[in-house]
Amino acid sequence: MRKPLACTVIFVFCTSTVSLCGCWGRLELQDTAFVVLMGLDAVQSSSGEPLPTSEAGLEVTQAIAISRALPSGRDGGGGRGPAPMVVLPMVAPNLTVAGESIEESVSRRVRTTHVEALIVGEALARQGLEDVLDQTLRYSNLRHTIHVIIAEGSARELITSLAPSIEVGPWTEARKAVQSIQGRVSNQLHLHDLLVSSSSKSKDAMLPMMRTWQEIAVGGGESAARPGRGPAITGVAVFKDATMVGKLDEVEAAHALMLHGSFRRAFMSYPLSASADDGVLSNRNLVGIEWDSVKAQKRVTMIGERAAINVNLDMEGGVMEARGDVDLTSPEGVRRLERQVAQSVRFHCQRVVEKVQREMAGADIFYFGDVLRTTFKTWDEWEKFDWPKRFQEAVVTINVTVHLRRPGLTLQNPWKLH
Amino acid sequence: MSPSTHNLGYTETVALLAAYTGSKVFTSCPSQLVYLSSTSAWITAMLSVIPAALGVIAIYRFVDRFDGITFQRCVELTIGKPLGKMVGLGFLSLILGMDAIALREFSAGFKSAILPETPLNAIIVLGEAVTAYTATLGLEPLGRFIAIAFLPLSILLLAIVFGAFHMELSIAELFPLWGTGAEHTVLGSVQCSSLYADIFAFALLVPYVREEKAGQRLHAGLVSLGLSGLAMAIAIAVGMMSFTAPTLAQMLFPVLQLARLFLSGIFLERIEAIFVFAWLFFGSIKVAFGHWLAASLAADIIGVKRWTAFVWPSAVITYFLAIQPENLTDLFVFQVTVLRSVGWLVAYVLPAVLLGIAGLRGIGSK
Repeated sequence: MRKPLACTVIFVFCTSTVSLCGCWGRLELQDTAFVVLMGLDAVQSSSGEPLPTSEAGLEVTQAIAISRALPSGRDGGGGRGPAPMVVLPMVAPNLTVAGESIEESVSRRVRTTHVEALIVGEALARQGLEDVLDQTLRYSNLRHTIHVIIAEGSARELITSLAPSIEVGPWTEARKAVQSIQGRVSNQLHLHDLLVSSSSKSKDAMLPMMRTWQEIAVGGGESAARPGRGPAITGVAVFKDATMVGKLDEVEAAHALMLHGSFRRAFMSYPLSASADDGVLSNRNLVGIEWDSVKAQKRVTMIGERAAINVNLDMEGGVMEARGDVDLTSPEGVRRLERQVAQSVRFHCQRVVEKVQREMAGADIFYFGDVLRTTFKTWDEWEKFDWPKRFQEAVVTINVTVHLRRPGLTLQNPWKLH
Repeated sequence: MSPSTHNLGYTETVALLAAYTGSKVFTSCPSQLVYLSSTSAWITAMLSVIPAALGVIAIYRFVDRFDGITFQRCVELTIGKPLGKMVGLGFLSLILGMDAIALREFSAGFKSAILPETPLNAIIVLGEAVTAYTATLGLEPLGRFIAIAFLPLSILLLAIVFGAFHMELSIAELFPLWGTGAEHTVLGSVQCSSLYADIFAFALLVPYVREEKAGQRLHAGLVSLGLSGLAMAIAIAVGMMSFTAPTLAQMLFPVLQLARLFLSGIFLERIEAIFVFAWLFFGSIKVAFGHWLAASLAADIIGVKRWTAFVWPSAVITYFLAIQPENLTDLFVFQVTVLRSVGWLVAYVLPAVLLGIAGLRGIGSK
């Protein structure tokens, strides 16, 4: 056989392996139903107490998109009518059985390859997600790039109460709500992040918490009367390994993110002390700052058996709001304000560290362990060191330097000049 | 069988050997190394290249003593025909075994990635038929094809790696740097050089490679080994930074898992099926080249010229070997315990011993 022809034959043969085998498992699009949101809850006893999953199984809520209800155009507008999805709750021993059982309730083959978010009820998250994570690692259809959201209350309630408002599907609404907090509340949004943090000895996860907000009238014309509920991020759930151990509100989460070093950009307001030296904060003097850059330098040293953590935060931003005795007309005034803001930031950071150390079993959401483990030579030494336990007793010192580069578009409130 | 022409160029040789040795990154091999060496696995992957390179040099020096004859003939001239044939059968077993492991792992990976409902047996049989036929076309088309496809396929492989960068890659996960300890890492790299035992194919390939410049053939062997080591070290390092060492050590298809993390905006995700083509081609070439190696060695051992007659029998044997392990756990444990311990002895030490004997007896010196 001539060589070019032989090369072509090799190519065709290799390619045909794919197409020929495909006849076995082919699945037509019109015969497929896609789960877009998946909720997991602990089964509750008659008294409302969550039961262990090993005994009672899981309450799995699957929302399947109704394809005929979706507009054909791109994005297609939204807010018209009820959520274009069917919500099917069931109790099953595990995710696999739930996936099989749901096919008995719908006419199509159900696929979980397009799940946008895995919503976990708070009670289940507090029990621990090890078994669920193991299933997601084995089960290839559930992707690691999906968002993980912790529901305030139950996942089932959250999914059933979500209604389309701006977007066509509530699943898009939920996804975009989660994406909007990236870099200012949490950077751990995906299932993969939870998998990594829960299997690492040097860090822990903080995942977004969500509830639905008040009823709103959506759409125009006839549909204006139909109520809908939009998703609202309320903070983050802090995990120790794969178990939820506490919550942080949005401001606390933002400062945790600053210490972590992955805070990107956000608008935040700070009450200021009357002077740079006294520590009493008051809302009478308040400044709103848009942070442009927050750099964290972390250093962990061992003093005897105790870890000493030193964090230097170098922050840059612009003033967007100034209330009370804030002077931005002189360099001295700006310096004073920088010191006052630094004090306020340090106060918030110190408080969140203490809260996590004291109330959340020392979950290292700041990744201090990542800094320390680089100083160890072997894995055995690192494991024996038992960082999760030591972090609870660690002394954390935070130094903050603030640079306010811009006073906004004006120097001083003109009404104050009168 | 004696090669009539030196019909394989430098590029073809490098591409063929690198694809044959380096395509293991798509299987459970990166996980096996992490299982053995913990966080220092990527260092082990690079250090293991050194003993393997010494093996390649020994292989080259041995075959080069006998100008233009096949490896099996060299062995028989060195230690006599009866013993030579026994040694040849040993090498043949290694080739068939590694071919069968590759076939099983690639088929299982293919099933896991894109064809979950297709019976594994169907994928193995079809893969076997395709690769056996490809092997009958001969060495030159195989070399030319992989030389053309190697670069785009490698770029695709790198895309998998860089695609995973969307997720947070934590350099801290590469620490503690010495994982199981510096001593264990360095000494363990000798055993772990079994990972590159496929480079033994170089021994059978040498007589077919054109040598336009002095030392070019040895250079091709070493470069292909270096590329394989680099691919393995990158796959392990990125895998650890993405998944953490304890999780990666348990994964059967770590590169597939990496590809599943590819997420570049909402329209560029769920595309690992595209990457499957990369390891499909590498896998097909690896198994097909394995068939060629087995057939040509078998023909040499028996002493017949028509090596194509042995392609289909070798495919049948490979098929039966491939379906022997009851499950992937058995295969994983077999590779970690048996193959890592024995592979380097057969692939590198045995040719070195043959070189020593040939040197002592003064046989075949050019």
